[in-house]
Amino acid sequence: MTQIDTRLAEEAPDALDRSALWQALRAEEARRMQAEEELSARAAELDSFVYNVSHELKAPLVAIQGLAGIIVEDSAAHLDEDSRRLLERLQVNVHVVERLVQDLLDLSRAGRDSTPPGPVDLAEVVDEVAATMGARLRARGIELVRPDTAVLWGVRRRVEQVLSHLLDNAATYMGGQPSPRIEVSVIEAADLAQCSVKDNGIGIDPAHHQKIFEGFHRVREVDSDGTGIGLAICRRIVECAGGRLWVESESGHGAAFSFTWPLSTSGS
Amino acid sequence: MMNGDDAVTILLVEDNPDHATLTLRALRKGNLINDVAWVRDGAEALDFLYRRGAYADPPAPRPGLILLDIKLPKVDGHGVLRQIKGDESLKNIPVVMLTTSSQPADVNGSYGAGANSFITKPVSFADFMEKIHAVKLYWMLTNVAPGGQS
Repeated sequence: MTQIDTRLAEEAPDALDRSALWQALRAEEARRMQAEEELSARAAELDSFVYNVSHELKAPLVAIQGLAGIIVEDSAAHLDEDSRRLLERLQVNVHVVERLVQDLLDLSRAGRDSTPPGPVDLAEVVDEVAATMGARLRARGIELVRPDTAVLWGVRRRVEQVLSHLLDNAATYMGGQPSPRIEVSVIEAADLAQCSVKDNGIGIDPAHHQKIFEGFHRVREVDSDGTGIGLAICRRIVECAGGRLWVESESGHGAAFSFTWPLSTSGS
Repeated sequence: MMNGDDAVTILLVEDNPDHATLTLRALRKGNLINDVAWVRDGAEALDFLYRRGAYADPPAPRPGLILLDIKLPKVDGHGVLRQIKGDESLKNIPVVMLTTSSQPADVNGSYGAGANSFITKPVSFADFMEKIHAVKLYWMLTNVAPGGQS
């Protein structure tokens, strides 16, 4: 055998192996891409299903709440106290379902915004959310510490929803704390902001830390009129924006919910 | 083009009888009196507007405002809207979409087809009454209709 023959004999199986490996890799890549496409089509289908169901549920709610409203408006004077109380309970319950439907809609909409993203002033959003919760914060004597400003890049309504849920949770789970305090802070690092909502309330046992983000899991120590999917919505919104949401807490020692969010590249 | 008397007719196109009860109640509130005609599907709405079938004799009045639901039997709200806005003789009538949906496709599709306003029905009774009443006041009093009639 010549030198070339020898080299060919030595390297040919290797080259064949590489070619087979290459083909296997390409086939695997094609399979993966197809699986991803199928998965994303199914997710879109599911979102659209939730969306439609939510709207179908809303129509009878409009009717129930409206008809009850007509009874109250026209006949309240003729009803005895028991009937009035029952009617009130009916309206409260419809309101609970309404919130649930709205939350499901929000969950299905997260990541499918028709509004284009833009610069969002974090401190401004915190002020707005705090203003809508003002009466509640004052009634419980909660001191709210606002963050330095940071200009995020995203859909304002989504940032508002996240902060609104986190501040609402912090106020709800304050327990008997004599000096209730919620601190919203922000740190900027490279192209991300890390925003934290920290309270000195009852805290959350680490055993619940994963489950609270899964939806319909409420820590049963406190009466809350929440739907139990607020944190699931927050996580989905944050992840769709390219960030991460997590909690640090121990039972009895308050809770800190933090999320990362892209900063506006145009600068603040 | 108006029906003989001064009262402007509002056409409500709504298939849900309970929602119609609420909307009619809100429209009849206050001192501003309007005739309200209620039809239950898209085909009936088009019969009303083109004065066909049951609306031929006596001829139905030309409405000064149309409140149009989207999910309707026979012809849906989008179909009715396209027909109205594509017809020279009807396109000037203000059409307010009144629906439970706030789906971006419905909102954008409606404006794209020429809707004049898009209102979602609130669940709260008080909000519902207030919103519909405000719609009526705006389109009947504040807005100046084509031809200078408000």
